[in-house]
Amino acid sequence: MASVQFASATRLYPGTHHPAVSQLDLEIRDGELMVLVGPSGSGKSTALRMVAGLEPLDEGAIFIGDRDVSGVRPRDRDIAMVFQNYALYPQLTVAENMGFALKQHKVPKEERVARVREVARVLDLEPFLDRKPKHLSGGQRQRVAMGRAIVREPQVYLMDEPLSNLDAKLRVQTRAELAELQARLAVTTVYVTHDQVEAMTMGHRVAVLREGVLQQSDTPYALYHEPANLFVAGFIGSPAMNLFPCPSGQPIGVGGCALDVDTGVTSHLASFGGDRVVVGFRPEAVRVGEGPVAAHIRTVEDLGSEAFVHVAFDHEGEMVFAVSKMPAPFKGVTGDPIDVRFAGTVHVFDPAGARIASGAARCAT
Amino acid sequence: MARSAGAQLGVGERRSVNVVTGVVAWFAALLFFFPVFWMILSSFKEEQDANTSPKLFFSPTLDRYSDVTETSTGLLSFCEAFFNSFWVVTVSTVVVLLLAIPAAYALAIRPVPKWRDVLFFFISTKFLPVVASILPLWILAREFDLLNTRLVLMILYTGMNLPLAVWMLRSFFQEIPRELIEAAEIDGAGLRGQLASVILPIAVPGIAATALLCVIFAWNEYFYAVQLNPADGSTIPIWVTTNISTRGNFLAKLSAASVLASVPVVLAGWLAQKRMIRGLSMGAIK
Amino acid sequence: MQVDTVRQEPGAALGTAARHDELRRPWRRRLPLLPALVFTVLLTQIPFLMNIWYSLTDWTIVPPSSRRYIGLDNYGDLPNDQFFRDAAWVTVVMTVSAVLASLVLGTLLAVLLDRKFFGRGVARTLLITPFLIMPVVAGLIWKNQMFSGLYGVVNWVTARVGMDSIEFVSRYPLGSIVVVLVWQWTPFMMLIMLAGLQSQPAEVLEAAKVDGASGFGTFRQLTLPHLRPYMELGTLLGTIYLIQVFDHVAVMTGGGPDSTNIPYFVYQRSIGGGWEFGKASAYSIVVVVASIIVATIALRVLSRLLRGEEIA
Repeated sequence: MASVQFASATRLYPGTHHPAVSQLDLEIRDGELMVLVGPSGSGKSTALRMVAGLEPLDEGAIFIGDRDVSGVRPRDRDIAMVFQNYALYPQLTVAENMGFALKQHKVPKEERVARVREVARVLDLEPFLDRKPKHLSGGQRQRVAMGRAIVREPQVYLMDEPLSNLDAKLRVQTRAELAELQARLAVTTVYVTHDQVEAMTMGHRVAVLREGVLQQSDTPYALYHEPANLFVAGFIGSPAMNLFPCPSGQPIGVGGCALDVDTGVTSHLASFGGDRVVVGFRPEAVRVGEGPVAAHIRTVEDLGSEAFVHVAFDHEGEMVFAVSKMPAPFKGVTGDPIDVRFAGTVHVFDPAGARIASGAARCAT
Repeated sequence: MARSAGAQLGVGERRSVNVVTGVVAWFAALLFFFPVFWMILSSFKEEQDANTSPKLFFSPTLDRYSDVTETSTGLLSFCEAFFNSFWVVTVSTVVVLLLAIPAAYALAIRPVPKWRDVLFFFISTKFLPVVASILPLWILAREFDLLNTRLVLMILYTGMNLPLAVWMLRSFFQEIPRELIEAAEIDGAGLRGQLASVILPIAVPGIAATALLCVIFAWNEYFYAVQLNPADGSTIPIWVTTNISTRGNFLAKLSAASVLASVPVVLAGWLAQKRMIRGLSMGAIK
Repeated sequence: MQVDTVRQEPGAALGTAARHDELRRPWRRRLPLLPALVFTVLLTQIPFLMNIWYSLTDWTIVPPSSRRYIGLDNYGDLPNDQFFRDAAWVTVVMTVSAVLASLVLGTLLAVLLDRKFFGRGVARTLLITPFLIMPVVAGLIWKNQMFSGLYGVVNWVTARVGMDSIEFVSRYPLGSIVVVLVWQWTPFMMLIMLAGLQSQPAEVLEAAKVDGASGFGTFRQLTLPHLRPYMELGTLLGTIYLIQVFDHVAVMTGGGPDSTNIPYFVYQRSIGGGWEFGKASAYSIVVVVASIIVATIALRVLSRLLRGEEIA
């Protein structure tokens, strides 16, 4: 068991100008499941591979526990990795795949067989121990990849989008199993995904990356309710936060309705120097039915448990779109006129992206 | 996902590994190339320099090259032989591709039943020793008045390379994603359309690799050429051997002739090697 | 909200119904194959049949004979023909040693060339050159310039170490030929094995790194099994071509008891001076039959290649 620490870690691919990972400072605590999330090109996989030793560092250092492993070979780092495409050894059976690392470390055969068997039992792989990967389904291969990592009992688990090749239903199911397994084993895990739902549901903490730069690392709750900047606010949460640019003079308003905000927001706004801000409301803070903003429905997504109502209204002379989360069933169809009001948490950002303030707000009627 | 050529130096790996690899590889490369280098060197020597114990330093001359390329009546000239070889190789390779591409289509993309047997049949035609078939072929060639023509060699080289081409092209075509073919079919493309819009563009490296192999084997072929074409239709390999004489020294002249004979194929091979490897890894095995 | 079921016209997506119908007819599928197939059948089977016919006669040119049908007499004489047995043995030794040696060397060189080092492209270019050289030229260069007792480079090198000059081609005829064959065919094997190495997924190698395998361990446990189909292809193609070797024998040793392989032997007996066409044809037929038997045994290997096993 050990912590993992990035200290100003940087990776610049030869021939490129923009670092894939730029001055990353991040600490992952012992036993924690830290999710690295971000769009493609954000550097999350590169950062993971730097911990694995599959990518060299151009600047900075990486620590596992107290040990600086920046120049240490992958096999000497006591880590295990689950690859996105599983990377199972094609000519070996499931049992041989899972026992491969143990064999390389000269673990005696009896112990090896016993450990493999135990992990196979936990992962329901016992019927497949003698099969080769090409005779397995995607879900089974994924479990073999997991088993290969677990059987090693390493200090750190590294997982590179392990669920992205599974179908949707299997993904949701495996997500829960994975989280439970990690909690039980209590091994430090660094988990990479592009799916923010996975990040939010699995991580003890989540680190959002964009173009190689860390945007925010925090608990899912904090990321959701206290996003550090526009990017995080728009990335976390589905459907995305509704964002409206407007003048910074008080009172701030959206769609023609002035907003009553609480005093914390007011004071931060007062000390803000710029003249434009971006106002954000999550879908649950946008209510349709009655309200001061006249809109029409673009489309209704009724999921059975809740409904997302996509509306359009006029804001500052232009047509803008918003998504509202309403209880299902929802009566209303494309084209219907509808009224919109805002009631909930408001986030105010400066146009460059940083968050100015958040607080309760509602339409002043 | 195939990897790009060459393993990078990994984290924690000693740089010396790559240095040692490089040294050994270069040593092997120079060793393998040495006979060719020696041949090139000898081609610039006077005969007396070539026919003594090995000399690295001498006064070079181009005379041997003019010796071997001068045209004398009654003897096969370099230009003639080159012209013959060029035509024979080009035509036979083109015909091989024209025959093999549809055949590979029929074996890979819309496979006929029993395609495995067909493939085995093609390969089995290479089991009959070339030296055995020469007699019936000679008789047939005489019947059809094809002795001493370029045509007979074109026909034979096509037959010689066709099995290899069918084999290789078949596995390259197998690599093409099914969906692309199906999309073309839905768009109304028949065999020609599919070939033109989907198959050929993707399989170009494989086709190039196959064509190169056919060119190499056809250009270098000696036996059929010498048995069926002792005179007018003679090709480069025959021309080279005419430079061996029983009287006087000939090593330097022979070297010059060999260099001239080898240049086209060696250049083609050098230029196309990357494509060959890509082609082979693309699907010579599946 | 009304949901309409869309009625599908069978085959509508594939264009006109007429075209769809045509595609069903099996001969349509075979059509693209026919030109190549017909060409090959005509060009190879007719001579083959003629050979069978000649092998059943006692046709000789010197002395001229009447080409009588003598049934299987030529075949009956075969087992007693010491020269044929010698030639068969030489063929086996030549082919097996050349294929094995070039395969091993080719694999080693491919492994070397797979790593990045200075001037790798040039090194590779130099290494493939022997394969591009004409066999007759290769034979002549090695015989006269490398192996020669008087002028040979090899002897020049060994003299430096104090050894006597050896006329390699006369002393070791078969060995000399095999050396030249290996020199020419190693690049071919190397290219195939390089293709094999490059087709191995990078992720699997990375997983092995993380799992603790050493460079050599990874090669032995993962890369070699991956290379097996490539080795099989190389062996198959190499054997097919090396069994037919003629040019090198003709040019380096001109026959002789220790270096005559079957192709040269058949040549000697027929148009190379023996003029015993009946007998020579019989030899060839035997060789064809033997090759087909061997190939059928190896068909299991072929099937696996052809079935295209997917590597997970």
